[in-house]
Amino acid sequence: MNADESATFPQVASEAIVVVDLVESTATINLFGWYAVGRGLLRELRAMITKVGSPRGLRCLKSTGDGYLLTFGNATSAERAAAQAVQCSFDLLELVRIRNEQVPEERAMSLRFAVHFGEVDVVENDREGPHVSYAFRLEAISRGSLAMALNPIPPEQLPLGNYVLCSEEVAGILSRRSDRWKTVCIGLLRLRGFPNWREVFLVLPNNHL
Amino acid sequence: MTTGKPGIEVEPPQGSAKDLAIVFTDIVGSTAMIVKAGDLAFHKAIEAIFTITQESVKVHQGRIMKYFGDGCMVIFEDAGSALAFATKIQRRLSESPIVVAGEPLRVRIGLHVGRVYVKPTSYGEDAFGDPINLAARLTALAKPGQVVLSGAACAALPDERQRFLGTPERVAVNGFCEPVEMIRVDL
Repeated sequence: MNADESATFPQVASEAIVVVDLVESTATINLFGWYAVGRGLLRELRAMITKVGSPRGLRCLKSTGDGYLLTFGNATSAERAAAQAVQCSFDLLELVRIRNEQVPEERAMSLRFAVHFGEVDVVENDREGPHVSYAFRLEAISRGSLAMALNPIPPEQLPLGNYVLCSEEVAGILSRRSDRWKTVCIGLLRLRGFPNWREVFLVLPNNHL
Repeated sequence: MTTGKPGIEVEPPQGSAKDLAIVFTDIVGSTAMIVKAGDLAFHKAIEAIFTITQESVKVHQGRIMKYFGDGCMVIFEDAGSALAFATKIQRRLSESPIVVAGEPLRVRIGLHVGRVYVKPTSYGEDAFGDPINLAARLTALAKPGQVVLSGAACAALPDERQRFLGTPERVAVNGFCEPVEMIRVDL
């Protein structure tokens, strides 16, 4: 393959893909304004992600408008990146919890995370491919989605914010790689653009009651 | 109830548990069809197929538990009624095709039996249990225009109905540790 040909084929990597979303960001921005509150929240979130993500193999950080797309890699074990991504998600939730105690209620931040794992096309400051799309589908799951699921948990058991969902693939990796978390299946769902029913899991710390 | 993965268990829901037959229908290639035909044409076709489904459910005394946009979940008191429903759908579509963007609309149907809890929820009545998952996963293994039954569903049929079914095959099903016996019914 010559230099011109290699330039048209992006590098492929196995990475953990995380979509983090500011819950009710549109309502917050509409109420308090983008410049007054919204932009500041996203910048704060970005700073927190950079702080906790860098030591955990953060490779990509891209704004999605109301959150961020992150990917994590690990040179020695691709699967370990998924565990690192989940740990980073919980680290962020802890930082947000501490931050929220120190700010007025209307400026409190609530996040939801969706974690998936798979091959992605590495584009500068971005990632592409069906596994990225899948992570976004996971992130879009909410209580309302459970009515269309098979064997769903009661919708009220899915939090409204500050939670981590993961795919079957990541649940399997976590069961093999770590005893820090447990995963609870929230149901089998059909995700738009993807065939077949897929299990989706809520990730909880292993000491969660 | 388990997901088939070790260490993950869910408490069975409170509600009435019954041995029921579960059927899933799934329109083949619905996403591509929407892109090709457009939303309006596709939704007209969906209405037509759901009308057929509702009529057949009524005849065979089933109950539609959920619609999924490109399919549905139906429960029956016995495997015989479920199979009759499934084969009726496929025959009607074969004899009077619903055409979308020049292509006949085709459906996969899967059938399983097992102990299922039916209970009211905040979004309406729903059915729960591992047999639901297996029925859904088996449906994905059916070819267009085909009905697939689990071995358990086949065994629940009257002897004279079992004779006319195909040879069982063992298939790996995502989320289940052991291969599952499955029979394909071509019409």
